[in-house]
Amino acid sequence: MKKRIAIILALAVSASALTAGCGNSKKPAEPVSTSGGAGEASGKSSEAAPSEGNRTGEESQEKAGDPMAAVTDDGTEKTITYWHTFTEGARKDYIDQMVADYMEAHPNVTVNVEVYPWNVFTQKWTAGLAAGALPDVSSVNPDNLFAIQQAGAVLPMNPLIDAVGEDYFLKKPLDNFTYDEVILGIPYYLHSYVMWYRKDVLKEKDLEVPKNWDELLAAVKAIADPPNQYGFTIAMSKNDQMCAQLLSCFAKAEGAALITEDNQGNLTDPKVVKALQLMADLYKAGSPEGSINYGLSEQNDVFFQGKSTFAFGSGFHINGVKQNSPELLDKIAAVPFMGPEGETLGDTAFVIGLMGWNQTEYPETVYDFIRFHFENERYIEFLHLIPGGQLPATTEVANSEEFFDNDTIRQFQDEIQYIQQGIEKGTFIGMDFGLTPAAAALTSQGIIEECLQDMVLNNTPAEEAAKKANEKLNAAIQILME
Amino acid sequence: MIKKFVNRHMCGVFIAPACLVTVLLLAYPICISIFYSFTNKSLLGKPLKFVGLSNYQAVLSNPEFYQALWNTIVYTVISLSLQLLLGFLLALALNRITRFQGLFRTLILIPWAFPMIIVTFTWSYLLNDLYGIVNGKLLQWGLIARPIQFLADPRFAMITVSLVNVWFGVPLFAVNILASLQTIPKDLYEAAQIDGASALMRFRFITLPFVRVIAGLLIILRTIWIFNSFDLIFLMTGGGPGTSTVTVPIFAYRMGWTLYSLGRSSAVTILLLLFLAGACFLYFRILDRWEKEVSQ
Repeated sequence: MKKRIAIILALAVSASALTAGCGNSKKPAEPVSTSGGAGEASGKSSEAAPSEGNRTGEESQEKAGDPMAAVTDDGTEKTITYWHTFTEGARKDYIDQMVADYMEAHPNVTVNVEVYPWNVFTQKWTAGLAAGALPDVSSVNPDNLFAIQQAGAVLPMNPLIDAVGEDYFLKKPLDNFTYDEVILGIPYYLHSYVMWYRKDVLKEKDLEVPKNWDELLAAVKAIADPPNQYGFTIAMSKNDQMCAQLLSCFAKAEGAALITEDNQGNLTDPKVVKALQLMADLYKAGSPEGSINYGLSEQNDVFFQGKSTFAFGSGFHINGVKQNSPELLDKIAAVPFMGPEGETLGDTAFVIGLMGWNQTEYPETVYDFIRFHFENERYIEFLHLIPGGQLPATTEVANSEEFFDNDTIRQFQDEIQYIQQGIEKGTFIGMDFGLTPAAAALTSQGIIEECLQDMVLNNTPAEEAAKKANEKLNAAIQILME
Repeated sequence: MIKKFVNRHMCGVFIAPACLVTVLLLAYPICISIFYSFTNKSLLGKPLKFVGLSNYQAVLSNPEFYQALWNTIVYTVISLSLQLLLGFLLALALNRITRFQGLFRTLILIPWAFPMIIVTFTWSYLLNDLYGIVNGKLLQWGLIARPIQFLADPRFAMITVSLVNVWFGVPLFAVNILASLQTIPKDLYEAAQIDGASALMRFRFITLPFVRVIAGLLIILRTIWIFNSFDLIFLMTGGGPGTSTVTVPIFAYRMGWTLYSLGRSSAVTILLLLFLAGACFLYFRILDRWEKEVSQ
């Protein structure tokens, strides 16, 4: 009988252990106040993880005067997981070193790093959400950030902002990451899109830098000499979102949004139709014929290798040209995107951010670790890995001499100024009226790319192609908004 | 007592692990997909709601689904028929070779050994209109006046991705058919030759009956794999230009992963499953008949 009872007890214990193993082993963080101060935030954490605050947390908090670091350094062993997308050599090495530095400064904290490419991020976090295997901190882009918010998995960053002060980060990028007063993520580096061009080719053809759409089209026609020289590469692969981004640049410049305030597609707006027509005309006038199937890398290759006179892109283009054709570095320049009459009413900005996940057991450590990314010297070192491509998100660094103390940044200071201006007044693609899930329909479905393909392959009139695309866009938005 | 139990249920004990694996790896995903297809299941973890047949209705009323289904059938038929034909020819040739057999067999297996991501990037680069060697050589030899848009022209995109799939899939057919050819007793051919059978007759009445059971099984497997294949087309064209290469798996992916709508995506998957189950049923009936003929 005793044996049987012992077996039953053992089975019960094993079953409960198994059940526990099946679920999310991490305790979700308590919701953090979005209006309180840093002290309040640490207090909440004590509730979420009593073992932290009860020991030495409060004492060290007073001593250090830094509530987040104090809670982090309370002596208890903590392990956090960091997913990031900086897969290539220099940035990956930098992050590895930064994580090592953080662990050295906080010996009780272990940071497990997982690196993955951007294109698997959606699959990775949605699978992680289903399996209860999410990280504590990760890098993030705007589309995914809002979806993660919809899934209820975002750790609000308000306590971090309360701790460092509202002016610590540039206002506009932070606003772009804010929804209903909840700060969903922290901008890590920024850029906006400008129009790059080859000074030497324009000079050779005795052309001025285009100031409006007619001049741009005329210049592309005059320059195009395939297969030696192309005008403007219009990359239309449905695997990428280059057409959507370029359309956003042209449409915003003339003051048109791609998605309306009430989350409806706006592709039939005459201004947007005009921008679509321009892109189709640019393709016909001087884009490689095969660019119908080009994505980002093929589009950039054509410019980096000197075959395209115009290109749209961020400051990353400086590095791209430097790596591929250093002899062309002195021959490139950029101007902001212009509207049909030369107006520049808006810009398309882009931000790579850092976010916390609300299943974390250690929200203060997450805040502290994110803040560690922005310590001035370290942060500038990171930004200088791709000079001009990664622009600062903190006010101090954005205005610091140290950041501008770089040969490449000095060489391209005008272009970087345009990009910074774009960041100040720009919004993410499809998010002119704030963060919205609808924007993902613009970039994930290949709708704009298919619309352009329809126009150039079948000679479908712009209005008709835009109408079809808008219907598809609205159908996708409807699914996203359900 | 225990010994008796084990003896009595020995077969059950032996098949239990296999049954468990089958249930976990096959039955569970199918059942959960069927269940999700009747719900609003979202990847964003929204509350689950029963929606009846509305997911199926949404999919079946979408003209793009039929376009995707048609493209998938075209892609499968082109890929499969050429893989079978070329695989058979290669196997017959290899069966005749007496020197360097190992070397040739290894060479033939090379395409199969490549990961699909490498295959797609390599072929995309080879076929590129500006830098690709294929267009470069054709231009250099004066065979074409301007680059062929292998992946950017809707007239060529489907045939191009199908041919890349043929290049990738031929080794599987060749190696398996070769193995099958080598099981045919030589004296059958000798006896037929003595009886005056021509080469064509020997192929028709000896080679083909022996090989077709293996070939039939390969056809079933490859039909399923090609029909479900996602990576090759997605990475090479993303379904474009236009909708010329959108297949059902790409349609399901765009629905499920990028719109976070697992319910609708599951409905597409179940429809695909039904279609494939019907096709496999037909194949198996034919295969059964062939097997009976061989055993007679």
